[in-house]
Amino acid sequence: MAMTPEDRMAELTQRFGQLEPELEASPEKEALSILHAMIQEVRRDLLKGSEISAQETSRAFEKVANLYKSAPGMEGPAENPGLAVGSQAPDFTLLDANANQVTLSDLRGKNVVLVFYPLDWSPACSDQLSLYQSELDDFAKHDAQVIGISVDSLYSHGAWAAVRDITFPLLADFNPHGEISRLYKVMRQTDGFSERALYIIDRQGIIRYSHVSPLIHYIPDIYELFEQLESINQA
Amino acid sequence: MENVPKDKPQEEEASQAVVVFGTRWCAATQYVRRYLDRNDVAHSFRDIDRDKEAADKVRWWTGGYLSHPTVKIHSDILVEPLSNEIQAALEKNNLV
Repeated sequence: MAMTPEDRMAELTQRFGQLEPELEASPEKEALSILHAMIQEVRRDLLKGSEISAQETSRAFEKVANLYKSAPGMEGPAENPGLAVGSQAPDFTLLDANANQVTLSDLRGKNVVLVFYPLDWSPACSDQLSLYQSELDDFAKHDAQVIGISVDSLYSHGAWAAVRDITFPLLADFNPHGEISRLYKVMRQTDGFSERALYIIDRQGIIRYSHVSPLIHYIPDIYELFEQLESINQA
Repeated sequence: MENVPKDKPQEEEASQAVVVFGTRWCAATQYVRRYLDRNDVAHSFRDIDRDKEAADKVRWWTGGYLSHPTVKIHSDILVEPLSNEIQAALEKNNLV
């Protein structure tokens, strides 16, 4: 029976994958691997379905929106332990991107997911907050309000939120610089910005989950986040 | 669904239409997995930090790079794909 093009490609792909462990490391093996990667990139162009957003936005906006992809990465181990589970979350008031005051204790009665992140416009931070933006419906189902905090100014927050389509509050821990990050024991003194850390604060203002990323570019596991929220809501 | 068992990786993987190769700490990997969850697309996850065979596969497919996520949708290998690229591949393979 004649194979369809799809069946043929599937068979070829499987055979290619099976060959890898049989080949010794060599320039020839590397060349084959590179060739495979090049073919996938060509197929990627052919597979594109939806309109690329760049067609609807100016070139300058696209350039800004994608700056984070080529920005220098952040790496390094955590320097701070964060606050312990079971402790009262310190209250604070900070400005959001629209210069509105946001006070933590005003959110009593809801779960709060407090996301400390190093800086706007940086690679991992851009991906992390976009991940949470895509999950806002699920956070709402868990009765959780997501709030981001970094040492950036409210002007940076406003621009970054506009470019990344972030709609949850981003708070400016700007002046005094890093005051709230220090209160939550996540301020990296060597760098001048916070750890990548996440707290879940329950409806009574108690910290029920505390996570400081062991390496600053590590994003907390979102499956673990939702498990924690479910556990809190069931308690 | 979690990592494919190591004793029958290729057989198991051949039966999985969608496999996400990545890390638990990568936002893009998490985004892709959750995208598939929300669209009710059955898939498995191979953790390239813990699964050497999975890491070797990714390097083989990408010219030596440990790119994450790398998403296998039937015979399509998508390296760090955007959501519209994933959607196009899912539609092409009649998975949505």
